[in-house]
Amino acid sequence: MWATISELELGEKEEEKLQEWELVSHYQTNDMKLALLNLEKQFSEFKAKNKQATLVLCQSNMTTEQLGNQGLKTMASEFPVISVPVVARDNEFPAFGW
Amino acid sequence: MKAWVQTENSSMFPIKIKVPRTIYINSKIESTDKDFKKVQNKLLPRNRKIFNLYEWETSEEVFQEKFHSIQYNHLLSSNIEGIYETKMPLRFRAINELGCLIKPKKNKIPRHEQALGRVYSIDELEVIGYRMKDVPYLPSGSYEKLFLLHSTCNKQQVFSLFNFVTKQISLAIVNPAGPKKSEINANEL
Repeated sequence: MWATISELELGEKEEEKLQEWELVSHYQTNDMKLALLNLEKQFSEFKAKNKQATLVLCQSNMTTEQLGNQGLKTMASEFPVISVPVVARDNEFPAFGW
Repeated sequence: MKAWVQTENSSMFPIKIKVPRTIYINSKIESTDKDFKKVQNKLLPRNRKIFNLYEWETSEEVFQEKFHSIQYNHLLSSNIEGIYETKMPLRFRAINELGCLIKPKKNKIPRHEQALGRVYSIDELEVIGYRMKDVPYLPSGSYEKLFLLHSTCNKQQVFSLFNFVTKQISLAIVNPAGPKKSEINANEL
């Protein structure tokens, strides 16, 4: 079950900001490594195309090293990663119906 | 130690810095060991009395190798009041000594050596903290951002990668109870 943007009950400004963004890659899997491999591809393509200084902000319960070992090697080795504290509220996904 | 540096022309790359281990030994008797350098301008925690305070600087490898014998020979000795900074994280020490604005000392780096790929020692780097007003640290707009949000809900996980350069989002949902791989209908999001 998926929610539409209008069902998320966002404010006007939030909805405007969200509209600026484009969802380019999206899938679900039952295998975390597969999910991370897909993201690894995104990181490595970004690294190849962009030469400007780039920071990665990472909000996860896992450390950068753990994510690197699970498959996000480019993120762990090719970018400076700043860990952002995890906020419990961000883990709630009522729209997914889980 | 790996450190990320950004140059004034906004290029960013990792460098390696060798941070030595420095410990302090407060001895009630004078030491004749040439490896120990006597220091004067230090204060001990909780203002403990300084007898003869010696600084011992070595590589982390040598320190780890000799640490047990140091503990055995010195801490058990009644002539040693204490050994300090054995547990100081090297990363903290590097940040404490170097700050956030540095440049290589010109006469310390051999001409035939490349700036990239070499291992710098702390004394090869010059602190330019006094220029903070002229050269701001990581000024806004000097770097791009990627944001990886990893959320977990029971056994389900969501990885969202936000690319602030292209304003694009990549989404991967891990649902152990779901199919091996399936596309999400983006129109429904």
